[in-house]
Amino acid sequence: MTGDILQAIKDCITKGESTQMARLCQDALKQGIPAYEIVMKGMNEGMEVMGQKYESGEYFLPDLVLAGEIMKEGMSVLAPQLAAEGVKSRGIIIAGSVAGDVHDIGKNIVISMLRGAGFSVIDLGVNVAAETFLERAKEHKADIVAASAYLSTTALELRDIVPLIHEDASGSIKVVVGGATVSQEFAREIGADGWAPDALQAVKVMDSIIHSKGGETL
Amino acid sequence: MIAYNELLDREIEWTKEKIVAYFRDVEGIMPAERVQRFAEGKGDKVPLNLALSDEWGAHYNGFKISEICLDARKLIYSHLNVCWRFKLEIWLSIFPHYYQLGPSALGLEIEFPEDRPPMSSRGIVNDFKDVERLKVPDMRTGGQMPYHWEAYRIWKEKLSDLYPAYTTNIPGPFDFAAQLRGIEGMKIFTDIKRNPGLVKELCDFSADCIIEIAKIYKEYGLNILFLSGAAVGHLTADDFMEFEFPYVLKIREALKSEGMLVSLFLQKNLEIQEKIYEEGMTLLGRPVPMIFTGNYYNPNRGYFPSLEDVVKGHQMAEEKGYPHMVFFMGQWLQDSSPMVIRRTIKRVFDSVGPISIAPGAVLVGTPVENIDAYVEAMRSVNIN
Repeated sequence: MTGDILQAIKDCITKGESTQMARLCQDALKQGIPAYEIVMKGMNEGMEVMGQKYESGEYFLPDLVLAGEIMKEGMSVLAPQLAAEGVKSRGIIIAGSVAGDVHDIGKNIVISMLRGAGFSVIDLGVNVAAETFLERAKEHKADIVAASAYLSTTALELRDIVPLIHEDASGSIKVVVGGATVSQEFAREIGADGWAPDALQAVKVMDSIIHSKGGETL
Repeated sequence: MIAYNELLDREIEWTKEKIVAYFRDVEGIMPAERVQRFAEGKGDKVPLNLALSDEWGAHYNGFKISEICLDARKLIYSHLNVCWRFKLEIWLSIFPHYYQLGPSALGLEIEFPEDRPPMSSRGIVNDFKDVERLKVPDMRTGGQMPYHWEAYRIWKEKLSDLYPAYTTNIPGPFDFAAQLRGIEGMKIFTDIKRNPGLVKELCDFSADCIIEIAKIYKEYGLNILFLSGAAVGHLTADDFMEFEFPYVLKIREALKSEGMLVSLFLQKNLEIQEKIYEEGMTLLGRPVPMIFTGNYYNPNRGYFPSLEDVVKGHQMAEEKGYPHMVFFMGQWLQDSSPMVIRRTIKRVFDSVGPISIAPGAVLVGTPVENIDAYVEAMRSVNIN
């Protein structure tokens, strides 16, 4: 029974059935399934499938964007319950698209997956100045600043963000970069602490950085 | 006292004179003639342009990016001086706010940060009611269009004899609609799944706007319209045929009586290309589809495609009888050394012969020596 409803939640995401998600999450809670389990074994597994199918070329960007939206709908039902269950945040992340960049699809998908995986994420939105990343990271005592750039012209902003955060926070706040035009080589060159080619890897990289799992982050 | 604008006009004229003198006395052939001869298969050198060099050009000429976005004279001078610096034969000035220009006539707000590319995040269409309320505006006077036409006026009056142009690019209906709906959150992608009717209405309306813009291009002597787009590049072949193609055909049909030809610009998805050719539409006016090798949206594979991928793409192109084009991301030109640039281009030519190799964008901050190296490497091809 538990497995059935979690599978249905997963299917909602992988099949783009947006109208069912909120009701299924409510039903799952009524069945006594902890919100954290619904997120991890239902939604997150669905998003993992989406990420893999996007990578393989089976799914396209509209599929991925819709999946992120459906996950957001589920999270709006589960968020109060997650707080009530006292699920401890796995880390605090400040996320945003860099100055000059209003593209946020990738960032939003990463945020959905991070929240699903139990991280607290403060979404600064788009067109975020380097100084704002720093201020908000200090204000929230963040573990990581996750900065995204979609355009080749705005990826250059990352060159400013990394040293600004590192110097001011003496290395205590890590910087993870990503986006459609940001390569691993570029991330290394600018001194970022982490880089990921997709949302799935982004969660793993940030988890690895915060919990010192020793995996490759860059 | 000379007014600043007058000074810029004189700079434009003087720079043009230098270009004319150079090509006449040193090259012995004018840019337009070289392009023409190349097109006829009788060329001596490959005619060159530098794609999307306007933002780089702004800095090269001492302007902030916002200056060339708000002052057509500065944009034209800036681009012309880049043509002079690299002795380019083709005029290809793409406006930095290319995607937002048309939608701005409908009220889309564009922000102009002082020295960053312009942007607009929030759209002006939320639902069907908004679409119903939309009316095709006066594309001469709305939003940023007067600036756009002023740039065309200057080009036409002062430069079209040196750098004639018969084609122009404009975002296709899906990208035009994506701007109207808002780039932040890319709502149009969820609309495809949840509200396809809205997307179709909006693309249909966008097609009407594009038709009006195209009619004005015609007045400037441009006879071929290329429809391009970034958002549309993320669609599946089926979605492309449903949400973009019918409205492209609508534009083509409407412009027939104007004597204007319509073709699609670049489309990396071969499945989409083959479908559009089946329906009688072309890509860049070519008779057959084109194979593209590049790592756009896949930078973990590198900013310049691997030689293995280039060779594979070339083999596929030869098997199908299609032309082949290599695209690299602007970061490569920025981060490489001149020697690496020359060697990489040479390796590609040595492996597959002379083919088109183009950057997506020459980024602000790219060393001028690197651009020189790229231009020299491309010029080294003996096309005979």
